Amino acid sequence: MQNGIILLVDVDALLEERRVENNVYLLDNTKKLGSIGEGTTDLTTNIVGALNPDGSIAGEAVMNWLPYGIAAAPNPVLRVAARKDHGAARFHELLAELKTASPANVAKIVARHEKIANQQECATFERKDGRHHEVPMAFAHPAGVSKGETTVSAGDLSPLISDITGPAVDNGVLYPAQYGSPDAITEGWYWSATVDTHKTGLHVYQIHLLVHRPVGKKGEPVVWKPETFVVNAKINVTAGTIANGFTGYGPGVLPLVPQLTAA
Amino acid sequence: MSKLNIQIFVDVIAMMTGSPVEKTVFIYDDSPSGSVGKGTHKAISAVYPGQLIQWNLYPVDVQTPVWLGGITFGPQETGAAATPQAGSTATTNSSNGAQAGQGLVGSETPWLCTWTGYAPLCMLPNYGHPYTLHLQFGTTGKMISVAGPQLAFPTMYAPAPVRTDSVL
Repeated sequence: MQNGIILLVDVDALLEERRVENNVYLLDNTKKLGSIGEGTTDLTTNIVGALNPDGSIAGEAVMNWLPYGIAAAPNPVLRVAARKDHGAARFHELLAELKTASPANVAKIVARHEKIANQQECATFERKDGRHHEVPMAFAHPAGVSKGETTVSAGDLSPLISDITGPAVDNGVLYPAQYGSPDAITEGWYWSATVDTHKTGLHVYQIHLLVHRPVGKKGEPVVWKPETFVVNAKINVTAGTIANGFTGYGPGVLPLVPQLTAA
Repeated sequence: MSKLNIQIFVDVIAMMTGSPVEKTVFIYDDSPSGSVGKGTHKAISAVYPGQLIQWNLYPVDVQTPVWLGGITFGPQETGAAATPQAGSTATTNSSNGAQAGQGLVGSETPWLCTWTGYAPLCMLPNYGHPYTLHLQFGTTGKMISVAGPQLAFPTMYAPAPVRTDSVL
């Protein structure tokens, strides 16, 4: 079966307090299988394994992780917002200004609207080696704020997962990998792992959360700098041998109710 | 003759949010001919006396787990919450031999159950044999029963479809 683990992250608080407790909430889809610690940073996910009578693995146990910032707009929205399509409102504004303008001012008005129409907003991200690169993303501005002010907060951007490590990986219980996904919510990446369900018991693993802190003085462009926090989580692996649900061993004759016509 | 595979697909989210069973349970089989209503929850699968039948259940969304907790035969009402009955044993160790989930309804480890069995040799032709699926979503808790599917041994000249009182 596929286990899904969601990390809800309060990015603003995480960056301010610089610790994971009380700022990251873990949820999984196996509460009915006995997972404990939902909503905390101490989640134990129950992984149920099925083995064939000869001991080989009968069904694959897969884990998937997805991170979300609780205050963030989804990444696809941030990317679309960067492509400013001013549409009809801007057009009407331009027409209204041109109607009442003197011939000398027409060129100035057109130039100003053209400059705004061609703008594409970009956010500057810093890599770990210090280099900067521009990403077409736009963040929400609170109403009433003047356009020059820097108003982004860290919580506007969702975190990403950069690695899955820990004793569970070192001991060959978890086999994680990062996959490319057509779903742009997590920038097209997601982490998934298969579990060796022979290795029963409690195992600890670490999720590396990559968050970005917006750094910049007022008036200067903001640079998003990466910081990594580690979240510890556990899996409790159990395994059983598959058997026939009707008989308990091999297939028998089905107890079909003999059909009698109504007397 | 070959095994008959019956595949059941369950839309768990739709089921949990109250959609009717005809929009949440879809039953298919790989019988080459004679089956009626494939893709609905009232599928009638054509089987032959002595044929091995295997039921497989899959959630439509892989991250919403659901398993078969039991299959009971005979006319039954579709409803919610058939409580799991006693008689199921848990299997949690990987080393020793199998202690299987016994009991027709409810198991503590439904993911360990495979549902195969032989159609009886004395199966009468042209009679529908209704059965009920019992769906489980975890080790314990609410089970949902889905009645509607049937097994039938069709003969060449039998008119179709089988009526709800299971007489062709």
